[in-house]
Amino acid sequence: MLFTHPPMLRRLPLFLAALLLTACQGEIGNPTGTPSNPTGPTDPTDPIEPPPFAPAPATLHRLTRVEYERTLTDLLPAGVPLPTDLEVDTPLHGFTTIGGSELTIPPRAAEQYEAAAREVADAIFDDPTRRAAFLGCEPTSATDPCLRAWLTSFGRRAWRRPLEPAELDALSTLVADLAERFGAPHEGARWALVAMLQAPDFLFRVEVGELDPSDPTRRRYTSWEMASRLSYLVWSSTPDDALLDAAARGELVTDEGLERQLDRLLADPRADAALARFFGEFASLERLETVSKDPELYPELTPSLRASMRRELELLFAEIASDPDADFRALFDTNVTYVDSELAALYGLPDPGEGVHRTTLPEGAGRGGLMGRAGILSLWAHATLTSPTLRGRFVRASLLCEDIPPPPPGVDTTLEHDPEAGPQTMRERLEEHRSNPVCAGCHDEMDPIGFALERFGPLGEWRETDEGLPIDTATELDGAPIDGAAELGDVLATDDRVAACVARRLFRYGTGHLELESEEAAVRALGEGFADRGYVFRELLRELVLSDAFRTAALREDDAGACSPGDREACSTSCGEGTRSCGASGVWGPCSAATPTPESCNGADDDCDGATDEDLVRTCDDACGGTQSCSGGAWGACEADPSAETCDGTDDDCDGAVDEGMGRRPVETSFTLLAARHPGCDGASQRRGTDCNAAIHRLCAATGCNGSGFGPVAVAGDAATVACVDAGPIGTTYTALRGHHPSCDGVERMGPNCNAAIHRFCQSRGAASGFGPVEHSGDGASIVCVDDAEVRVLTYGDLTPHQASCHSGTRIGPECDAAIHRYCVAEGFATGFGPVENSGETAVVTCLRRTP
Amino acid sequence: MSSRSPIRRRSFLRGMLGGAAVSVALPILDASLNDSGTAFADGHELPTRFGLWFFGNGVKPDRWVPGTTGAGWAASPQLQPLVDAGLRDQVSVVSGCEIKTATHPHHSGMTGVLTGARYHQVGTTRDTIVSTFARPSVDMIAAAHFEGTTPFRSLEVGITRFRGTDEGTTFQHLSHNGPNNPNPSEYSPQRLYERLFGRPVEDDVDLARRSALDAVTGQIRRLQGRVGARDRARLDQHFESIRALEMRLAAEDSACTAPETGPGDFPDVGGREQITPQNQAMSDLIALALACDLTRAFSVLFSPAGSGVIVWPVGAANSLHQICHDEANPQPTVHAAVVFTMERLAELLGRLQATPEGDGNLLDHSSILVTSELADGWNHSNRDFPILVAGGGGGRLRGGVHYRSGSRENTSKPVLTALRGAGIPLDAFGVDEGRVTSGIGALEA
Repeated sequence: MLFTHPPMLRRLPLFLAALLLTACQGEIGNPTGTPSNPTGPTDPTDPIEPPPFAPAPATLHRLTRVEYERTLTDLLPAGVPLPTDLEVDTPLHGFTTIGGSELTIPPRAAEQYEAAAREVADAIFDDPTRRAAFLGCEPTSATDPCLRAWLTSFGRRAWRRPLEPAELDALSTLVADLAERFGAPHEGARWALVAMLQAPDFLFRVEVGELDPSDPTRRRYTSWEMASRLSYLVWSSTPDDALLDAAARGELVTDEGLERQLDRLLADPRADAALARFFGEFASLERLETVSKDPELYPELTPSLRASMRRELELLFAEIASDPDADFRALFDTNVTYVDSELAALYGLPDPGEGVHRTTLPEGAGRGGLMGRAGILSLWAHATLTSPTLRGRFVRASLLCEDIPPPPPGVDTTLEHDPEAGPQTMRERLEEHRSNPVCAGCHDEMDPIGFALERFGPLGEWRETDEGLPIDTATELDGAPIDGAAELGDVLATDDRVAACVARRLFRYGTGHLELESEEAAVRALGEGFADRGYVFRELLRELVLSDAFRTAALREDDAGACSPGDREACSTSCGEGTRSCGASGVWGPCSAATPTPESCNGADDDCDGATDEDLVRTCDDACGGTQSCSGGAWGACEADPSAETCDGTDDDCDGAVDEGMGRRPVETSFTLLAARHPGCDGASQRRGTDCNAAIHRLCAATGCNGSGFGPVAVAGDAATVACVDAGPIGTTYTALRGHHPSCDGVERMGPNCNAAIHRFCQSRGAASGFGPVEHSGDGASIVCVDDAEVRVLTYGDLTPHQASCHSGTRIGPECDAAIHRYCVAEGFATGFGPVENSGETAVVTCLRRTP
Repeated sequence: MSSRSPIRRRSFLRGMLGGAAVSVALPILDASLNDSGTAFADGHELPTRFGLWFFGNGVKPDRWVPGTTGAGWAASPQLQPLVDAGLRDQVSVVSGCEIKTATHPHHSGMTGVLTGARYHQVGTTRDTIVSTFARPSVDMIAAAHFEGTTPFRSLEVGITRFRGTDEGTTFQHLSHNGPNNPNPSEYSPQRLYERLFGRPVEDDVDLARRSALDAVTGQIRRLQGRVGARDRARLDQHFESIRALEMRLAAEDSACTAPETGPGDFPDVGGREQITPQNQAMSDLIALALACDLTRAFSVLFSPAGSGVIVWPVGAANSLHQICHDEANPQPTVHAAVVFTMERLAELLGRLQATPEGDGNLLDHSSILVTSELADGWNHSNRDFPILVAGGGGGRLRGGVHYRSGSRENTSKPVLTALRGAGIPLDAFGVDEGRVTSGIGALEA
């Protein structure tokens, strides 16, 4: 009940208050007190203290294309050509390494790997000199011991661990059989190589881990597995013999051993290329190869200029990242550049002659660091136009790690431009765009940043005018005034969020997965360590490599009750008794009893609750709406044709009009249906709160005749009545809402203070009132402003008669939601919400007029 | 079945180079057909194929939907290219259906129509949705049905090169076996040619390859004993992929003789993507692969969901996705891009129609589903979804019908019809709200 006494919260430290508030929202009307969303994600921008660290599960990492190529290069004799027909990587969440941890090997890729393995095997074995050097001997028979010696040594390099006896035996048999069949002792080795290069142990980095001897609650990666984790992070390639020897000595499970090898790997030139790969993916530089510009406007955009743009950024990054003393943030305000003739021409520099030259941009070039370089500017622009939106989105999403949701469905995204009105700058066109409140919420976050870069055209070329008009580059980034690219760079270089974001994204790249909620603490510690060590990039890598997050894994499903292969035992599910047996790997197999599944219309008791086909109702697929229920495995007849029109997207009353007069009204629904819209609003863990707000919003918006909704305004068991309205959501931020009420700051996401902030926000935009948030994420919040409403200043005494438990002691919550709704209905309105302001006995509520 | 009829190389290559439609390759089966050419001499049916042809960003429904329903539908501006190519009698139009699964711009439409299920959201720390297919895409349902009958389980082909990156496999790929398990499309006609026809038959080498593959499958099984459940499932796919390759090596040689030269590739000219010749070459290769019975399931990703392809030939200078959002009504450039897209579809269908087989042609013996990820790119609408079902389905499909649903029926219905049209005896398609047990009767023969 803390929620009903906001003043008490104010005395608590901010983050603790937020924790309590979050928990309390989930507990309103919830007798069990379960947290609303115990496994939900942590918002990365949330100042709330994350939970204690726990590692992620181990997984297989499919080698990305670059890793596969570099691995072959390091593994095979010099001069063997690399295969070219390979699958293009599928990056996920910004990185190919995350794709590698998610994807597997589809049929086409298996074909490509097989052809590639044969190609490289042919290149080695068709050349007797190369073959002898590769095998280390000239075998004289199919069973020459030198073949087994080769399998042992090459197998360890290819699979990054010693082969097990059974594996060695299987490959030896293949070698002997095929040597005999082809009548040539080395032919078997050719096909063993083909097989080894297609094995999952080669194509995936296999990581399983072992129980951590120092902590029974987790696994740790073995010394062999750490060798691969390290070399693929620092080299994008396979471990060399020295690293494998260190692994064999067990050195890679100690801090000292890891550091020694990390320093050795970093000193190798392969490290620069690998770090450039991280940066290339960080900034999507690969897309420079294909980004389209209008060839008539930009005939100078040749393949070589594309390569020059990319190379400039990679060299800049490598220069800073490889320097053991350099502050990484120099990337954003450096004037160093690497140009060849083509890029120099684009930058207005004198022709440096042949080759690539390191030089500096002159004072007053106006470009600053990364953000003013052609590679970034052309990637984030259209073929004929600049895009302040895309450039701003790059800063928000890639450099600040903030999310920008896509435009909602059904929104008119057209940028209308009246040709009669004369030329307009891009900034002027976007100002119009931003005047639409539905768009402004997100575009306010992106476009102004991009305005700073408007001096640069779609290719990143300097321009004095836009459409013949002067260009205004004065703008701001979250309150910091900036004018032009150089000042944007200066602000980014000193923004703590940028360095923290680089650390976060290196974590994702290096571990191959999006951080789990339980890893949030490790991600933040990594960012803090980066700052503590002067933002030296190599130190960030060291922090990552030495972190528990990089070296440990979650226990596996079978660890707690490890079993001996062949064991059997009784087990049960809610569907009944069964048995399970222990598999060859020491893992319990599934219980032979059925497992409960969601009830479906099939005549069976799927969820094992003793009832068959219970509570299954759906909308009929015919012209006149209606619903049908399931019984005995079959859907029954459609009911209620015709019936009173309801806000459900169907022509219930069969008068040919769908949802007529359904603008705003209460809609009876259930928590079962709401949970389908947002699983948190299931009526058990939450009956009122941000999850329910979202569920109600989505439910109303999906009816097709409403834009959003609020509530519930009445509940009884699973039943819930919500109020749908004819207005749609507006995207905004807690930063903006805080300007209207200081306590509605994103830590506090809903409640009386946010009600007031939203109400005032809407009034400042000329609307009557508003409610929300109907959706939220990080700093972002979607709210709904309404017109055709009456804002009434009441006392709680006016509300209590409509619901006795709503009084100045309760102030806000389900009781008062119901009271306000009933009050407004009794006064002749459709529904109502609030309190949108409250103080002492005073409660201000908003009643919505019926739709005409 | 083992007789080899030579491909007439010259006519094949002329098609490749973008000349007039030619009849590619004699079908391999003529020698063993019954007298009327309607079946094999031993009574088995001629094969029916399933194809999926997908294009991104939807249509303009007011210029897509034909003005009349039933047989002989009146040409609409955007379907005119199919009529002009003489394909109306082979193409049925389904309008008025909608996606019944949860909605989200782009994501829900593609997974909704192609799997009859919701999209699978990957990761939960971002609001910008990253999605993949929860279930196999419709072409993989067909591939599973046909598995073992042809050397290639399926073919996946891509035409325009734009590939989304940031929002999951849904934005990068068409064909999916399951979550985060896509079948990437081949974008190089030359490589597709080499894959289809590049294999010299060498018995000893084939035997060695199969021995090596046996060693690989043995190793996969060994590794599966060491990893957790999620990775065991990923390795199952690797195992299946190797098995598919083994089956190809074990399959009888194609009775077609390979054309001696491939079509080459079509690099940009003056900074512009060569969409039309690329599409022609791929269409030729698909026709040839079907005529030679190398596969019975294929998919063509003309452009992906939310595609940023620049349709230069119609005067577009910016990404199609961007134009869909920016261009003022009535969106003449978007309209022209849809017409251009249907012209490319007409090239594939025309090539199939021009390839004789038995008593008819390849198109008669195919069922091809054509669709997009939304109805109208301008506002991400999922209603009045654009769907075509092309081909005669070996006599199972009527062809040439416009069915307009008056009650916003489930898009899964025409998808089920297209699958049944390829001779795949399914009782249902989709799950939960996307599930149907009946197709569109008006389209079925």
